[in-house]
Amino acid sequence: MTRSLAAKELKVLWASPLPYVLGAVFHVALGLLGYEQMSGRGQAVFQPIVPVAGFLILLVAPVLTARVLSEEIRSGSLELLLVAAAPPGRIVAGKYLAVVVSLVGLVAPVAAFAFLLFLYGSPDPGPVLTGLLGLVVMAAGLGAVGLLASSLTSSQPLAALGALFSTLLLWFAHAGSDALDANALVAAFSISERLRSFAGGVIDLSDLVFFPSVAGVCLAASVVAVGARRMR
Amino acid sequence: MRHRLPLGPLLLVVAVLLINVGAHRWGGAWDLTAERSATLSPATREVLRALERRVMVTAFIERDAPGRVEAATLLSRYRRINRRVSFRILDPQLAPVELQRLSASPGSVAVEAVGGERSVEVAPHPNEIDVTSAIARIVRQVTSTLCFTSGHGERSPNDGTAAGLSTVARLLVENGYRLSTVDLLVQAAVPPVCDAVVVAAPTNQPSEPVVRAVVDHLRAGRGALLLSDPDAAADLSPLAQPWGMAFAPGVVLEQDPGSRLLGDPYSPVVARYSSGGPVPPGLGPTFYPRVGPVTVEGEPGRAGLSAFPVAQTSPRSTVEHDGADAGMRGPIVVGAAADESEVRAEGVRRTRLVAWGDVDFASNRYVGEGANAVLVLRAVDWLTQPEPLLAAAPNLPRLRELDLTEARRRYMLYLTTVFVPGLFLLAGALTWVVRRSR
Repeated sequence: MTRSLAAKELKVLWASPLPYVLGAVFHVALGLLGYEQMSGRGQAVFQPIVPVAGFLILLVAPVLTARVLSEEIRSGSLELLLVAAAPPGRIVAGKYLAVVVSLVGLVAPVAAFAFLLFLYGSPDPGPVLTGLLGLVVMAAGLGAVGLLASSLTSSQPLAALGALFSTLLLWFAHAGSDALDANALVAAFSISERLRSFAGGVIDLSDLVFFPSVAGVCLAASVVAVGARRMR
Repeated sequence: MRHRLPLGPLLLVVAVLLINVGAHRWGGAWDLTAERSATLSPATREVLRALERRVMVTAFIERDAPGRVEAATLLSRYRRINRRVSFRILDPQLAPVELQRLSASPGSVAVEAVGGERSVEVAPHPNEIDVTSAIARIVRQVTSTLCFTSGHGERSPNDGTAAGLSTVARLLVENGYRLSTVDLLVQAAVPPVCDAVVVAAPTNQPSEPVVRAVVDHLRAGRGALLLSDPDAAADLSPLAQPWGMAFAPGVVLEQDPGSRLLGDPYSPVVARYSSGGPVPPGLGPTFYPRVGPVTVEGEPGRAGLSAFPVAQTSPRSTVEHDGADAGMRGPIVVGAAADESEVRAEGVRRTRLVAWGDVDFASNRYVGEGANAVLVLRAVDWLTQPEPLLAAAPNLPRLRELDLTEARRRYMLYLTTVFVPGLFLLAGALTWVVRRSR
């Protein structure tokens, strides 16, 4: 059931102009910023591309995920699914699978920069691989945040704004930690610092676990939110 | 209907928390960089674990300069180990005030203790050894003592006149040095508390016992900054000669109009430095109002000893002695350094000397000119630097250049900003067409 739900969701998502427009805007922005980084430095390093791409994913993911559940809530089709005895966990898993596949499809062409680096130089392959891995796991984590926001409201703009606000907080968590003199607890939630580690060529187990953890918690909360609708 | 607690999701949240705490505390990290440049040595980890003050690490690297990305990666590893370490990377051209405030130079890294007593240590390079050494000095609160000799008409650190050294003294105190004065007419030896002595242009020739006292101090593994004055009668060569350096008579005459100040041939501006030693990379020009030449023996003839030029004037400079050409041709060495290391049972004993053919560049009147103040501070840092805290080889990342021609730049721009976004738009348009045709 999860797979068929994911396939249906993918079909619906990619039948709309949204992912295409988002993809185009994402890559124009990344292209301009990334080109400036590579051209200005004249070095075969992938590290500067990663945070730029990461921040753009942060802006794109909430928009892409906003409609996934909120549209179903608004139209009432979620209740229909629940009445048809579809378990909330399966619904959320199917939707999430579709979101992750879509986000990865959107982000995948970032590898064009790696291609250019290998074409015109000899970059260290380690940071290229870890940087790409970091972007994928981050996209998976942010997809779940977006899904949670979408499961809480029938308003797509509200869902997008909620997810965007939450992910921006996570992105700048390390800055808050400095300002507040808080200890490592706040900074441990900083997406940008986690991503920097990947960009630098390091796979830290705590970073690798962090993004799936964010996804796990958000998905669990989404299951609870969807399940609560069945109880009504 | 009784609401059941969502036990499954709650258990998941608890499990996720436990996994994250476990991964943070006991999890490993895999450094996939070719040179293992993101891996910090056990010595660095030890220093960071001992760090209890907040420190701000500021690397001064130009925006597109090589090493900026690698420095960010390295410093982020420091922060991962101890959150009290914050860091930033500033372009020295865009942050000249910070550069000056931290007495740093382009390409170097300033480590500033935040809160409590202000303390700044400068690492000459953005690599692990230098940065960790700088943090370690803050952790261990190593305060070096600098002793100015007196009794032979030396310039005084308490003298606030134009020729005095009170400005340099203040800068040194601000940078964590303890200053003291030692009168070698009264004391037979340099006190052991002195990590380095400053012999600032005595007007009277130091007597034999004084020379012996300074040489003994150096042989005990300490440092000396010898500042000569080409117009003074005293010759400091007996202090420098055991380490392969000497002060030659005469004054440098700068014939290159682009390498002197305000057309005065006796005021050379020096911008040629040797890498390593007391001069940090990227040091700006330094200015000398009358400077004498320093000579360096090519082969000092002692194992473990190296003497090397540090600052040189332009190739067109000459030396004038008693109103006549002394026969020396540029580039003239005006600053040199010597480093002697000896391995002993109790550890490595290191002697370091810096010999400069001028004292006025460090005087109250001129120390603010160019990079003079930074030069004095870094020379003293070099003299009093404790033994290298890390034996690890510097795991610096290799510089990997991108071979970009104009055509390749264009291709890169079109591929990333036109072709890839165009594919998305094309796919979108095709989907729209297919949907409409059904």
